[in-house]
Amino acid sequence: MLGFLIILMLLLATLALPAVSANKPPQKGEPLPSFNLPIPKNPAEKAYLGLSGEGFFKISQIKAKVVIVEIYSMYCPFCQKDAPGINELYNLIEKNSGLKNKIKIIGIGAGNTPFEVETFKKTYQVPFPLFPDKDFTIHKACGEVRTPYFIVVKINDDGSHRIVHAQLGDYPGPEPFLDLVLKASDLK
Amino acid sequence: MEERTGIITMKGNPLTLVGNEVKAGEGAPDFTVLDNNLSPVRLSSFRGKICILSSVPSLDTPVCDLETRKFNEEASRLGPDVVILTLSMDLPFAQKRWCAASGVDKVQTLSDHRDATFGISYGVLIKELRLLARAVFLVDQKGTLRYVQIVKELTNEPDYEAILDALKKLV
Repeated sequence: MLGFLIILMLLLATLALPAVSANKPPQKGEPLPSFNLPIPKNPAEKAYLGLSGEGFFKISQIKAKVVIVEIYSMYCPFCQKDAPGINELYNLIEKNSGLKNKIKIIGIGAGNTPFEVETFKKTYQVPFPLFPDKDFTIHKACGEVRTPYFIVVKINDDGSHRIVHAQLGDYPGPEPFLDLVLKASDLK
Repeated sequence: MEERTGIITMKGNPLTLVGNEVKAGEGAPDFTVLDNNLSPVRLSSFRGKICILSSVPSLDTPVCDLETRKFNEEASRLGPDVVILTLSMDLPFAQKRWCAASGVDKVQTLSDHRDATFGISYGVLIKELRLLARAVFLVDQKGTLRYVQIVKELTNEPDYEAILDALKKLV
């Protein structure tokens, strides 16, 4: 009888729990949530990411040792404010012959259509690939993070990968962020 | 003044709510808050509209909440009579910066900082912080409360789907 009552109480307790999001924001030490991105049609972007063919790819398939992912939105004023500084991060990397083929940057426009992604790209002259996430599918897989959210992924030679740094907002500027990326991914 | 515990937590730590508990079916208490220009605004001035009263601890954050923005856009598209009033203890100057409202015409940010009349009238004033708990109240065109949701953990978002479901019944 007591056992039955305890089980009943536990059952009632679980019914009282609030609904929780299925996914948590990506964290250091974890693998990336599973999602696909379309292989860019633009040949320069394709070459930048070291991809070939058509269809979809996973971030761990990018030809790099480290990939910096920014989850942003065209409508996020903080993402807009950070855009020149992240462009500068790209420039710092590309100008450094030791880093240029090792670290890549991509952006994912949460809830943004291809048109909105193009608008952001043109307005802020973004030199690295940006991807639309029109239906928030990737945003959901990433625990519906606030923006901007930065994820630094280290890709190993065997194709396995791990998140070495994850950060919500607070972009510190190109040099400090590059320093952080290098330390987190043991490239320093 | 009534105090209630066991309703909300912050990172699992219990907090106390001050003010009157309100329930669906009752008349929505009137209150006066300040708009972004420091002008007083009363709930009763929205009579005839469906009001979504959404209270939050703070709007002044350096990141964007796309969830909330999505909800604001969806809710405002549900009908011409829908108005979203987001209330917090932030000063009006800080509320102006809130990105989940920018470009969404039907969202108004209102400050309860001066007298906490909303917080006390709706029982969502947090005693320990003098901030508002995260909660959503739906008020119909006649001024009757039709839905109440107080979010248990302060750092979590509301259950937006449940709110949209309840809202669709009023529109």
